[in-house]
Amino acid sequence: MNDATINPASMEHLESFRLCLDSVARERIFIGRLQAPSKADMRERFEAGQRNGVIQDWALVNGRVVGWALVMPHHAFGLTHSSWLALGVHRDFRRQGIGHRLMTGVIEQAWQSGLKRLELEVWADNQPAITLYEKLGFRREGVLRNYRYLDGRYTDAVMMAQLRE
Amino acid sequence: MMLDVHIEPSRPELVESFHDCLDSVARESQHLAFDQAPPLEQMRLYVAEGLEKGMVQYFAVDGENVVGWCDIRRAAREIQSHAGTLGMGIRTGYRGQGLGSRLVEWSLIAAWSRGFTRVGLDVFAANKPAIALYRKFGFEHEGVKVSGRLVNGVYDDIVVMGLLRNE
Repeated sequence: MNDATINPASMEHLESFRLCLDSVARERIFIGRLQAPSKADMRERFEAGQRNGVIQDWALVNGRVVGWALVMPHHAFGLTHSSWLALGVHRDFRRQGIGHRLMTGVIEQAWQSGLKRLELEVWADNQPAITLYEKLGFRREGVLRNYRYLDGRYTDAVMMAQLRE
Repeated sequence: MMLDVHIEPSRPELVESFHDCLDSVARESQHLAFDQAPPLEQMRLYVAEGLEKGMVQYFAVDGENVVGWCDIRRAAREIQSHAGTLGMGIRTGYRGQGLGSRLVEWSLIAAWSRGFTRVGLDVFAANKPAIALYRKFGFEHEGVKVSGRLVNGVYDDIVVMGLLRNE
């Protein structure tokens, strides 16, 4: 029951991606934003990402974006071997291995591009994601206390990373 | 040497001197995630926009010259608007004389009074004086980005520290 295909992000599907991002954001549980950017803002960010070497794949089902994974290389001095990852899957398409496939794909591309370190942050109460990241080879590096304040409640973030020689 | 250096809040007239100070520290290629300062115009914008969005920034000033800075930037995301990120630097020749402590003290007081409830920072593991300074103010070790820094083929870890406002 999994006919999702993994594809490089493309302008053609940008609005569908924006709707998927908006849906996950509005759950107010998993990601760092509470809604998607506007169409114009989204386009600008996408183009900037392409210029800045962002690796991004989208999961498509019948032409609709249902998940994303991206690797953003750091650009600051001394940090360019390192990068920051993000993942999201639409609520109707979870528990089908799409997140795992998305992550496996961008991680492989990240190593091939010469990156040496992949890092991410995940809310401490998101155990399914933490389990997935551990399965993919990420290790815990620390806990950022009270990193999110939402709906009257603080949440910690777990810092995770993996390295390649 | 007796220092007559005072601490004052950021203001536009000091940004050019701040730029020189940041550039000097950046060019040491030791302590910052810069090896030179961003262009002056970019820094003017950074300071103006930052202050507008509630950034805390203090300068250590010797005469007319900025010789150190500390800023606490507000995170862009709504869910992190309570959280600040601290960055600082002191020009060589002005270190080891307590300026860093004065800058951090003033900045934290301002941050708490402006509603921040968390201040976090990244520091290179090799920078022991900075880590000792942050510990003195109660920052706790929250994690380590293993091999998070790579300069001229040499890795260093990045220590992540955080301080929560006393409630």
